[in-house]
Order: sequence, then C-alpha cells, then structure tokens
Amino acid sequence: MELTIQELTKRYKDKTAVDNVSLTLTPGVWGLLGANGAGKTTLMRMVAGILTPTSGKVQYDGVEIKTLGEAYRDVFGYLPQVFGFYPEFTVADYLQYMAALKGLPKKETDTKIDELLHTLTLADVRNKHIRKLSGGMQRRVGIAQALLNDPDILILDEPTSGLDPGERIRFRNIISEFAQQRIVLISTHIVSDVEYIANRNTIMKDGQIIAVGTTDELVKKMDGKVWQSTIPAEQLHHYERSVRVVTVRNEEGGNVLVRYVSESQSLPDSQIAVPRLEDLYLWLFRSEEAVKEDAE
Amino acid sequence: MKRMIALELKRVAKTRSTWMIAMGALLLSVIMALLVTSFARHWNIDENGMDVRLTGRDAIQANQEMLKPIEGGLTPEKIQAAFATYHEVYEIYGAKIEDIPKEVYYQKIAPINPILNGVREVYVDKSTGIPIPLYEISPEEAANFYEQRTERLDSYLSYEYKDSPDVVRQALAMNEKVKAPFYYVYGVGSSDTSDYLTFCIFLLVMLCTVIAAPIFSADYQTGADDILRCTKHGRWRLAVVKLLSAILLTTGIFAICVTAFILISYAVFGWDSLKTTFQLAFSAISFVPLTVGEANKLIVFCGLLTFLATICFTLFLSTKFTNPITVLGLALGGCLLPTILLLAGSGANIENWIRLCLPSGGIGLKNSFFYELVDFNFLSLGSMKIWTPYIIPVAAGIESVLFFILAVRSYSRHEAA
Repeated sequence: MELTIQELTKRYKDKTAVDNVSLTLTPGVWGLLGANGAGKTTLMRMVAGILTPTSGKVQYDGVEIKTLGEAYRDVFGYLPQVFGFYPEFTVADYLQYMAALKGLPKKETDTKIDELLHTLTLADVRNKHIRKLSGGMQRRVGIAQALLNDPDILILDEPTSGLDPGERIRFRNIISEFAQQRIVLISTHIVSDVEYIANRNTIMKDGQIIAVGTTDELVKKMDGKVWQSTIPAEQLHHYERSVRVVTVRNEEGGNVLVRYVSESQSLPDSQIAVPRLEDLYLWLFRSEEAVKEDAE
Repeated sequence: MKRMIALELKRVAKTRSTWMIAMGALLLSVIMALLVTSFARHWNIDENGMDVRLTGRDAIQANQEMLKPIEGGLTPEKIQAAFATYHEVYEIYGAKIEDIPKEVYYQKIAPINPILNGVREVYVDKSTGIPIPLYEISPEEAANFYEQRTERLDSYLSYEYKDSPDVVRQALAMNEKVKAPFYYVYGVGSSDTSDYLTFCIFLLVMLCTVIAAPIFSADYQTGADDILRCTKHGRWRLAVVKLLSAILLTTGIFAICVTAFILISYAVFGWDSLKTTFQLAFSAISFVPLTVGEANKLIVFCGLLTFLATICFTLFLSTKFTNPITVLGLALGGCLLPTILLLAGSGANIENWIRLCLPSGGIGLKNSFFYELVDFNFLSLGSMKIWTPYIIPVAAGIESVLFFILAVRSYSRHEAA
C-alpha cells in the first residue's frame, strides 16, 4: 500500500500554497509538521480529493485518485481542521448518517458505532446534540466519523486541537493501534502529539517539504545544537533576544534552567542536551511564530 | 439509496426552521381558505322590509338558496326565461338599479344575475366592441346566446390577432370542445377561490425556497461538506439524495397545504359547484373547455410543476454559492422576477417568453398560470402562435429536470476555495 504525491502544486492568485511537493506515504503514522500557513491543510485537502491541484498528482497504489474516485473514498477517512457537523443531529444520528454515506451495511453500522463511541469515550453522550458538546468531545465525534469505515488511509488535520491532555494521550494510543497496515497522516502544531507515535515525520515550510524522516533521523540533525544552561532569572530577557529558547524552568535561588537551540554555545556554562523533535521544529521555524504545546 | 434518503429526510425534517416554515405554511393556507369564504356577501331584505347583510358561510348558504332556480344546465330556454323576467322589471322600473325597488331587485334580478352577466359579455356592438344594453336584447335574441358567443369569440380574436389567423383557428378548434349548454351551480366559481389558490401556491413556493436554499450552501459554509464529499457516496449520489429529499419534503408540505386550502374552501362553497362551466365563472367568451373543478386541478398541477422548477432552481443555486443568504436572496428574487417583468416590461413577445419560461413563471402576484388560462394570450415562435398556458407547464417540466441534473453536476464538481 502506497500513497504517492507527485510534484503537487496549488497556486492561488497571489500565493503558492503548496509548491512542487513530492512524498511517498507508506503504512504507519506520518506526522505533518509546520507553522500556520505552511501549506499543510492545502496539501491534505488535495490528498483528500476535495481540492484540485494546479499541477501534479496523487496516486494510490499507482492509480491516480481521481481515476479511482469512489473506490479511493471507500478506503479513505478524513477529519478536516474545521469539523463541520449538522447541529440538528445527535452524535448517534450523525454517525448513522456518515455510515450510510460511507456505504457501511446497516447491520454492521450499529456495532461499529457502539465500538467507536466506547473507544472514544462518547457512549454517554450518544443521544446528545453535537452542538451541545464541548470542543474536545466534538473533535472526538469528528475522529469517530473518520474511523467509521476502517479506512486504509486516514488523514487528520489538527485532530488534537481542543483535546485535554488525557484525551490527547488516549488519542495517540488509539491511532498507534489503528495504524497497523494503514497510512495515517496527522498534521499538527503540537509536536509531542506525533513525536512518540509517528513512524515518520514531514516538515513543511512555505508550501515546500523541508525535511522528511523518522523522529530519530530528524532529531539527529540537531545533535550539537541543543543546549541547556542555568542563568539568573533577570538575565533571561537579555538572552532571549540572541538565542531561540525552547523551554524555561524555574530553579532554586532565583535561577532558571534554559533550554535553547543554537549553532554554538551562546549562554555561559551551557551543556549539550539530548535533542527532541520540538527542538528541530523550533530550529526550522526560528523566524516564525511557533505554537508550542504550552500555548494550546 | 433509500437509507440515505431516509436519513437525509430525517436530518432536514429535524431542523427547527423547517418545522416552523412547514407549520407557518399550513397555517397560512388555512387562513387563506377561510379568508376566501369570509369574502362571500349576500344582500336581501327581510319580511319586515329591513336590509339583511350576510357574510361568510351564512352568505354562501343564502346565495346557494337564492340561485337554486338557475342551477344546472343553462339552456337557451332558461336564458330566454331569465330575459323575459328582466324585461318585465325593465318595462316597469327602467334599466337603472337604483330605480328598481329593493324587494323587486332581490326577488327578480339577483337570482338571474349570473345569466345577465354572461349575456352582457357576449352581446356587444360589432363596430365599437361596447356591450349592448341588456334592455336592447330581446328574450328571443338572448336565447341565441351560444351561437352569439362563438361569433363574439371569433370577432374578438380576429381583432386582437389581426395578422394571425392561426390564433383564431386554434381558439375556435378548442372552443368546439366547450360543452353547451353551460352548467351552473353557485359556489367555488362565484368566489375568488382560484385567485387565492394561485396566491397560496405562490406563498408556498416562497416559503419552501427558504427550506431549499441552505441544503448545499450551508454545508459549504460550515465545512460539513468537506467531510461528506470524502465519503464513498459523497459526490453525485449524495447530491441526488439531497435533491430528492428536499424535493420530497417540500412537495409534501405543498401537498398538505394545498389539500388543506382546497378541502376547506370546497367544503364551504360546496363540491357540486365544481361542475360549473369555466365560462360562467371567469369569462363567457373563453375558449377553455373546462369546468371550475378541472381548471383548479390544472392550476394545482401547473403550480406543482412551477413549484418543482423553482425548488430545483434554488437547489442548483445552493450548489453554487457558499452563503445560504445569497442563495435565498437570488432565489426569492427569481420568484418575483416574472411579476417584475410583467409590471415593468413593455409587453414585447420576447419579454413574455422570458417571463413565462422562468422557473417561477407560473406563479406570481400578477402573473400566473391561472391568469394566462383566463386570458387570451398567444406568443409567437417563428411563424407559429402558441397559447401561453401551454408554455408554463412545458417550461417548468423541462427546467425541473434540467436544474436537477445541473445541481447534481455542480455539486459533484464543487470545490471549496
């Protein structure tokens, strides 16, 4: 099973959202990282077949998805960034509706819905109107609909936005389990969501893919560039201007432990730290506003 | 497909606005039917010589009682007898109503008024086209009503369509199918039921347009469509399901509301009155070979076709725009366009073609299938002349199918910005 993105470009009047992207997705979880406006959503919408590329193509097992049409959508699951739902529907009604659209036999539908509601801890709200649910619960309903047809290809655009930490951990576990022999592409700002479950990560910037690899491969690029140093708290403001600070932790005696990324040691008494994916993300997007987990 | 339609119907039917509109439409239909019956009037004097003024059901019952003697086939003998009565009164009191004592008027003239009105329309001065005063028409001449009527129709159309002998030929051919003697029963044909039925259909079209407008566009706006169109059946099949469900639901509302209107108005005016000849209800020289009941059936049928064409047009617009308010504005504008064209236009042939061929060409405030049926309008198509009531259902039928197909195509190919 292989999903091939070939020289995909999406150009609008005054902007190229996706610029000549090529990528081959194989079974496993793929993390798609990038800042706002990097082109992640546009790329996903083209892979989902709801946006026509300006040039390039997407192939599933060697056949263009446009040619596959219904057969492609039959093995496809998608949760867009904005989860639009029918306000008049309860959770169960909505999933019934989606199951019919996905061509699930009526007999299997109830069992599948029960199973998903249980897995996503939505069983208690099955008869509640979706509009009355919290943002996190609505998001989980969105994930449930994407999983209804046991898709071979699952595309999730910012699936964890609005989920609390517990829900995010549960989500990661569900996806890890689900991804066996399936292609799962998850876009997110939240690096930790994909750091431990993604087999491979793709990083997008300005419509282009700037890095692809396993978490270990990508993190390796940061060897010797991640530092930590304990400095007096009052000096933090001064150093923040010259280095890219990843985290700051208060220490005893009015000091702070600063973790930062830099080509060379920039703070006094710095020590090399073990790099993480988040460090790479910050390194690659040093000129942009990075949305950190803390900000979520 | 059935399962999908059932679920989509459930979804749309569960929407609060749909329920509110459906209930509003039903209430409106009932009110309009009651209004029509409330307009009935009956004037008379009682045994003590006091004025009696009745309205609504009482007036209808009194009129039914008063006009019973002329009910049934309007034979030449019956017309002659009515004119003999008229001349009796005329000889004594003259032609002016105000000179006739009330009791005489209510006893002698009012019960034959439907006959006098018919004759008044048929007997005109051939050189001026002005109706001949009734007192100049002898009972024997009045008995010649049916021959005179055909002659009048011929001369009227020959004058109106000087250069189109084909129009006269078509009309007279149709006129041969008009059954004589005419049949008369006081009731539906004596009221504004057909006008209000037309207006009721117009309002139903407008209200159901509100239901149809967001069917696709709201999904675009909320982003729900992004998920739907990624599913196995999320393209043309979903489009067909959404279209069929919207059509089924709105047609259901149409059927219930029109049935409510008809049941109430017919029950009050009397089902027998549906047998009244079209000519005695609307125009004595009309060449339409129908009864009032048949004409109303046609009004409903063509109203339904126009309704379907407008709903399909609205659904097509809904597949094109991402804002339901834009769709609603355009659809309602489209509903009013034929009326605007009629009122503001020059009446040119092409203008009338456009007006009648628009999806909502069969309904409106001043334009409708009913008004075309009552009128004597023919439009040119090359050398041919086509009677306007033929154009509306044909155009609406074609447009229903056309906009259905276009909507499926448009939705399947839709792409979000």
